[in-house]
Amino acid sequence: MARNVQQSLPLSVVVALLLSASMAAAQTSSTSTGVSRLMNPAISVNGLFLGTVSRDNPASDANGIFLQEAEVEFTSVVDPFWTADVIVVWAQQEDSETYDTLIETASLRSTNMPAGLGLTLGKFFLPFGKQAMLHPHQWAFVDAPLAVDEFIPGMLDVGVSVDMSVPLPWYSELVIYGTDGQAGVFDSDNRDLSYGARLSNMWDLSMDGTLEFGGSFISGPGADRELTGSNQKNIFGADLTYKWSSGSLSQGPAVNWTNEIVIPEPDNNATGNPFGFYSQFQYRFARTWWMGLAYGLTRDKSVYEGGFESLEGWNEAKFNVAFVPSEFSTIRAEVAYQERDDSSADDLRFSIQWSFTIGSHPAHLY
Amino acid sequence: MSAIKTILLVVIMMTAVVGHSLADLKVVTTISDLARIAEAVGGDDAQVSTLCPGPRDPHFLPAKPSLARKLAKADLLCYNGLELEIGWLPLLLNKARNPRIKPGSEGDMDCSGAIKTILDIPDGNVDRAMGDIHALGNPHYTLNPENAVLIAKEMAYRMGQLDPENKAAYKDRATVFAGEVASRLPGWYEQLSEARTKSIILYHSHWNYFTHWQHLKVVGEIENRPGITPSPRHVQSVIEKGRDLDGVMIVAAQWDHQDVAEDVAERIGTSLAVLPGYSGAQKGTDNYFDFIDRLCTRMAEAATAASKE
Repeated sequence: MARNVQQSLPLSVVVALLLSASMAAAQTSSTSTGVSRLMNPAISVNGLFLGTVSRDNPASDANGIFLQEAEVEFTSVVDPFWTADVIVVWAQQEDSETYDTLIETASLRSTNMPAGLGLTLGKFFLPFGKQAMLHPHQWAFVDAPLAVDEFIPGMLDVGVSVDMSVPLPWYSELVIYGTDGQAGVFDSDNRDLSYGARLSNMWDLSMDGTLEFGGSFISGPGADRELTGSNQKNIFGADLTYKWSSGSLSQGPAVNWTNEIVIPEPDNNATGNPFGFYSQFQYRFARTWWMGLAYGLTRDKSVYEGGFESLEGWNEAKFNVAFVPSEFSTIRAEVAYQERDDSSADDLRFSIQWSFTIGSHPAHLY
Repeated sequence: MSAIKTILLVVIMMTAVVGHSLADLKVVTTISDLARIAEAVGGDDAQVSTLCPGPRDPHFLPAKPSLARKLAKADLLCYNGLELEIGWLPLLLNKARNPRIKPGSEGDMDCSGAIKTILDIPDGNVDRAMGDIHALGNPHYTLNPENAVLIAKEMAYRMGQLDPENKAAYKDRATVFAGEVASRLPGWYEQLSEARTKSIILYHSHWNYFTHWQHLKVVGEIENRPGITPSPRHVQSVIEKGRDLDGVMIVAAQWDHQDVAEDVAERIGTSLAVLPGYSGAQKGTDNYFDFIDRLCTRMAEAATAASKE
């Protein structure tokens, strides 16, 4: 018996040592629980909610309280040559209780391009103007400006983008891109590719203020046009932005003033020169409080009055006040008025919108 | 033809002369304190610029793409680290498109790596209910001149790696910088002997390295959660605490919301010292030594004023 015990002791010790060794290995080098965790991407979640009611359309399905959008973002270094960014969005379908899943971004960004070039491959926001590249939780108002909504909606596509600094005495950046032609603005039945470019220039007016002027162009598959005989759709844009924030007071007064014009070539059967314009002004009047004012218009259809051609469209005005206790949450109250030139669809709308961000969310563009 | 050749030769010679006179190593720092140290170490062999000017709170620097122009030309990026620049540096690096300074490259220098003791590393779980807390520890370590010496030595090493020709010069200048700090330390310490008898209420934990180095007694903070507006209840509790103590002084940076700090000082009945947050934040503090001098002088004046209250 004693012999057996003597024989079994070394065995138990060996087993214990093996177990402890395997556990230690699991804690330090297992691919399931060890170093692989350190390689996980940064993850963030954003929720955007809206409560809205219309004075002029009280029975509209647009009235109510909604989860406008939930967004999950993953960002990480891929290897010594690339970083990656993936954004998945669940957005409520218009006038519906169901949600669409959309991969908003899934792109690689090179970290090793020569000659000061940048390269992006995958699905990304097409760089056109100032507003079209923003996620809804970054918008200054509840809705995008009419000019953006009508003329450059859904500016997401799969393709290649190259960006570079232009050697000028001020900051100047040129982005050129070619994509699949499936952005919301184009005709998805037409399989032609699209391409575009954006040139943005920025000047430091002072230590605290900047002026940015940008020009954008995009061309892609449109519906056949009877007038031009071309099925290529071209859109031009220009934007002017002034920004200022107090350099002497942390989280002190700040101003953002953005102006943008979008000029598409006329669609089927339309004549004249359609365009859209908006001007948005935001002011931080206290450490955690912002106010915003906006005006916008679109002219999208030709009408003939007394033998003269004019363009008919929409006008809008908005005002909001936002409480921003930190960079991770916002609550804002907004009143927005839209009217059609012929007064056929005027709408006064009151909204409350709130958003939150949790996790490691990348900083937003300037 | 010979005239053209002569002109070309002159142009080439002038270019060579001008090129020689310009520093070859381009160093960009994120905050002004690091720029002053880099200038001391780099001397004429390095061209130093900074992204966040002294008067700006580096927590909230707008990521102006124009700043990326500086980064695009940099050979060495010296940043504070500990997530002080997390809100803007990644954006600027992306815009700069400069592989020489990308994370992990030779030109990427996280200066916090040179610091031996990081203060205020939170215990246990960290979440944003605590405000804009720095999970890796308090990032304002340049306010302790002993840390500036460590940074200078590390900068000299990194500059020497990138510019081996001037390696000895960088090392020599770092040694001179360290000697200058060492010669001033006793005076700076002596200057605040009266302040060590006072209790200090900070607006923000910006000053912890300075107070730790000087063995000053911090009894509270007006901004109890970093980056978040202090609640009236908390402000009231700070005031009551200050009233219960003898010899209290309030300390704030020039970019802090001084209306709150002034109100607290007035209701306690004591003095408020408004200090430059980093070198260059106030006139006459462009030099790192002048900056530390100013901190000590203002703090000493506030201590004297607090004694008279």
